[in-house]
Amino acid sequence: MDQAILDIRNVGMSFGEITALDRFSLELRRGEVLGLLGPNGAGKTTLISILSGTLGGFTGKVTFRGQDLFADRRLKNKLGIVPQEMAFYEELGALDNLMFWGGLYDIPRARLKERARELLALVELDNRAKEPVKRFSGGMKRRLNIAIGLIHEPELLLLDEPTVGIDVQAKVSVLDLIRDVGKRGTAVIFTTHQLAEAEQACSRIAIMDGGRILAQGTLAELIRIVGERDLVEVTGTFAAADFQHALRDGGEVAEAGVEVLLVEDNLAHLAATATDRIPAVLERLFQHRLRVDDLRIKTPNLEAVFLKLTGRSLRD
Amino acid sequence: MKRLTHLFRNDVRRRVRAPMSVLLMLAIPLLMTWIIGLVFAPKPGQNQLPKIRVLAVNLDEGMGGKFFLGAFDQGEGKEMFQLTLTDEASGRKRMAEGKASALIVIPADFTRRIVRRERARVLLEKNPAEQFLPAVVEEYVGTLAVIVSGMGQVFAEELQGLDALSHGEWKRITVTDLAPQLEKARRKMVVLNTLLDPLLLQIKKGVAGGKKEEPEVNLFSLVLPGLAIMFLLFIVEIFQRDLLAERENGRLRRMMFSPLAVHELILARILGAGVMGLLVLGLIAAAGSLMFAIRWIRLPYLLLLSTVTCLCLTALFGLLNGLFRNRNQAGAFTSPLILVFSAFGGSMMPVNQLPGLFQMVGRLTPNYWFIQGVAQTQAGRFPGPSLAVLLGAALVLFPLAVWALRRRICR
Repeated sequence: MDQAILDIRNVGMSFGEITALDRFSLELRRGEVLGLLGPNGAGKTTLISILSGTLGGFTGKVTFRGQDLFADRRLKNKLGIVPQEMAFYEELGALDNLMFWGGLYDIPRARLKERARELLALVELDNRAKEPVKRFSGGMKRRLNIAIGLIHEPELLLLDEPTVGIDVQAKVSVLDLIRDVGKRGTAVIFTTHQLAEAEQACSRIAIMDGGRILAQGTLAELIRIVGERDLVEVTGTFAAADFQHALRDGGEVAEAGVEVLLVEDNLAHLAATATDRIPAVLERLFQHRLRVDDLRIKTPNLEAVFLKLTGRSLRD
Repeated sequence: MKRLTHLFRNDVRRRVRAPMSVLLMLAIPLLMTWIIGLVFAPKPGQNQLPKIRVLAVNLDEGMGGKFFLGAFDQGEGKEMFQLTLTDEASGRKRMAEGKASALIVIPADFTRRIVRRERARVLLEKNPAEQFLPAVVEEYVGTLAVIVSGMGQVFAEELQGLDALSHGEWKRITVTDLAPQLEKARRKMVVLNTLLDPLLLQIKKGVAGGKKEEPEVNLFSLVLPGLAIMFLLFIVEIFQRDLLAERENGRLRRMMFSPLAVHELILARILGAGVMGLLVLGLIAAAGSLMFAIRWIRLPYLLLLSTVTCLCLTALFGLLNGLFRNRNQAGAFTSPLILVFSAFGGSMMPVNQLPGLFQMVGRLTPNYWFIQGVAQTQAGRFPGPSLAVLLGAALVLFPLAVWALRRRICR
C-alpha cells in the first residue's frame, strides 16, 4: 500500500474546558476519499482550521509527505481547501476568481490560465466563465468553490461540508466531482454530517465524535460493527422511558435479538437479528399502550453504525 | 511582494467591477461642496459682499448735503453702498420694514452751519435687526464727518466769504459771485496739492510676522478638504473592514491555506487601503480643480500630507477592525466615530467656531490636522505640524494594527 501523504498524530485542542480534539490521529493516502462523519461539535471544523494554519495552540504533530506541515510554507502548494462558505469574490467572474486564487500559489501564469480553463470545463462553467458569480445558482457556486480548491493541482484536498444548502441535483453533481477528484489521484478529506453523502462519495469513512475518531474503514468494514442485524426505526407517540420499559426483559425481544440503539420521545432505533420476530415486539409495545405510527426495517447502514458507536443520531 | 501586488490588483479589480460604494464616496463630497458653494460663493460679476442699502433724506437748503451724500454715490462708496434718496416719512417706513441698513437725515441748516463753522448734526438711524452692516455705515459717516470738519478748517476763509454773499439764502448766489471765492479755493488746493504730493506719510501694507499676504481664498478650497477627509475616513474604513468580511465568508481560511504569509496579507490590506485612499483624494482634488476652479498650491506638500494622512487612517482602522469580531460590531463603532471626528475636527464646521473644550477635542482628530495642513499648503507654507502629528500617530498605530490584525486572523 502507498505510504500516507498526510499523517495526523495525537492532535489535541481545547477551548477552555471544552475539548475540541482529543488525541486525534488519522492517516490518508493518495487517491483516497475519506469521509469524516460527525455531528456538530464533533471537532471537524477545528481539525480543518488547524490544518489550514488559522488555529494555533494545539498539541501533537501533523506531517505531510513526512515533513512538518507548518514548518515550510511551500508545502501549502500541495494542499487545497474548499471551505463550507462560498469563499470567493461574487463580484468577479469564475475565471477571474480562479486566476486570483491560483495566483496565490507558485504557478506560472500560462499554466494557471490553462488550468483555470480545464477546471471550468470540469465543473461545467466554461460557458459562463466571465459572468459575475453573484448571478450563479447555488449548485454552480458550489462547483466553483471546489474548482478553486483544485486550481493549483493539490495532492490533498480538504472539503468542509461542500454540499450545504444546495438541491439534490446539484448535490449529486458535487459528489460526482469529489469522486472524480479522488480517481485522479488527489487525496480528499470530506467532512459531512450527511450519511448518504459519505456512503456515495467516500472510499473510506471515519466516524468522529467528541474530538476523536470512534471507528474508521470502508463502508462494508464499518457495517460489520453492527453485525448482521437490520436497523428498525419506530416512530409514534410515546415517552422514551415507557418505550424502554416495554422492551425490558421480554421473551419476544430476546427472540428477535433486539438491541436498543437509541430511544427518545416518539422515536426509537433498534438493531434486530431476526426481523421476522418484529411483529411480536410490536405486539408488546401495544400491550404497554404505546402508540406506534410507523415502523421501518432497514438493511445495515452507516446510520446504524453511527447510532451504535455514539448512542445518538447524527442530526443531534 | 508578488503576492502583495497580486492581492492589491485583485482589490482594485473588485472595486472596478462593483464601483458603487467608492463612486458614492467620491461623489458625495463633491456634491456637498458644490451645494455649499452655490449657497455661499459669490456669483460671477458680483462683489464679494452685497451692497449695503442706505436711505438718505436731504433736507439741506445748500450744497453741503449733496456734497456729503455724494460720498456714498461715487468712488469706493458706490461699490460699498446702494444709496436711495427719499423723503423722511417713506424713509422711516422702509426702515421699519427692514428694507435698509441705515437712514441718514441731513438737516435743513446743514450747509449754513458748516459755512459758519457751527456744529451741524446729521441723523443716523440704524436697522436694529442687523449688526454688521449698520456699523459699517456708522464708521463711514464718522469718517465723512472728520473730513468735512477738516475741510471746514482749511477752507474757513472761503466759506465765510460765501456766507457773506448769501445772506442766508444760498439760491441767490450766482456763478459770478462765486468766482473770487472759487479762485481762492483753487489756489489753496494747488498749495495743498504740493504739500500732499508726495504724501509725507506712506502706508505700506504687510502681514504680521513679515509673511506674505495670503492670496485670495476660493471658498470651495476651504470646504472641500473637510468633506474629503470625512469621506476618506469612510472609504479607508470600508477597505479595512474587508478583512473581517474575508474572515466571515471563509476567504481568509482559504488564503491562509495558500502559501500567503499572514504579514503579507496584513500589509496588502493596510497598504491597499492606503493607496486606494490616496487615489480617491487625488480624484477629489482633481475634480475640485475642474469643477470649482480650486488652484491647489504646493502640490508636492499636498501629496505628502495626503500620503501621511492615508497611512495614519489605514493604521487607525486596521487597529480598530482588528479589535472587533465581525463587520457589524466594527460598523457600529467606527461609523459614529467618523461622525464625531468630522464634527469636532472641522469637517462639518470650522473648529474655531466651536467652544474651547470642543476645540481641544478637535485637535485629537485626523480631520483637524489634515484640514489645517491643507490650509497651510494653500497659504504656500510647509504643513510641518500636521505632518508631524499624523506621521507620529501612524508610527504608533501601525504596529498596533499589525498586532491586532494578526491576532484576528490567527485566533
